Amino acid sequence: MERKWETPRILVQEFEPNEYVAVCWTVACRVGNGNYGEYGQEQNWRNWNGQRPYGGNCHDHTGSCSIASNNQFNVSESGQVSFYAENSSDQGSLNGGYTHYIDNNGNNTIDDGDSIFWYTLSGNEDRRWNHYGIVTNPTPNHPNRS
Amino acid sequence: MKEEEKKISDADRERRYQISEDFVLRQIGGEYAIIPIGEASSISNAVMSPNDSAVFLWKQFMEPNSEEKVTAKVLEEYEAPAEKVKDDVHRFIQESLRRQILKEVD
Repeated sequence: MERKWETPRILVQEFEPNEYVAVCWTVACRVGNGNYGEYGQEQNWRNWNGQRPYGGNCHDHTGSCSIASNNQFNVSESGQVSFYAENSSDQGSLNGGYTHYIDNNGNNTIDDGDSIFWYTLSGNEDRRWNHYGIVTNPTPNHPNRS
Repeated sequence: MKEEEKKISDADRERRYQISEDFVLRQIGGEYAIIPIGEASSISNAVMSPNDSAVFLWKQFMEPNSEEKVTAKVLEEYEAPAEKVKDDVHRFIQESLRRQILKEVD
């Protein structure tokens, strides 16, 4: 029995490539119990980038950020770092943003030994916590979270 | 004029085409999918789902083949008006050439 012919069609379903991968380094927030004085950034913390909410240092909440594995950063194909989320023990996943870094080793790359600054926001974004930490070496066999 | 147009058209139907090596046809769970694999392909990061007729034509062009022969093959296998088949095969070839899925070969 002959098959029934229909106009040949090819449905094309394009998908967005994942342009971001997890960074290979880790960073734990050093603010902890109000220890924001290390870099003399206290005034900056209260007026971070001039944007409200100004926020406070992160010892205002539980300090999950002091555990490096709770802080997730991504890097794009062009090397642009961004903050992905913090796994907070009391508030779940916190959004936020990367602000800047201090290139302590002078190689124009965020890597081991550099200081990095970022912030997290509450669920309704009316509170902000500012963080900083020292980037730690890439972890051998680091699993790619992307 | 009509005779000349007919000659040009006949020559076109005898040109040979073949599926580009930048694409592969795979059967997955009873369905077919076309996957772009070449870096130079104009379609990337995509999955392409052909219908039964498109799969048939794809398989005809896995080896160099002409529009005329493929049209004849379709008419052997399928129940359809000849003019519609001719038109559909021609459009498939033209669109596939445009998207570099098909390439003209010697």
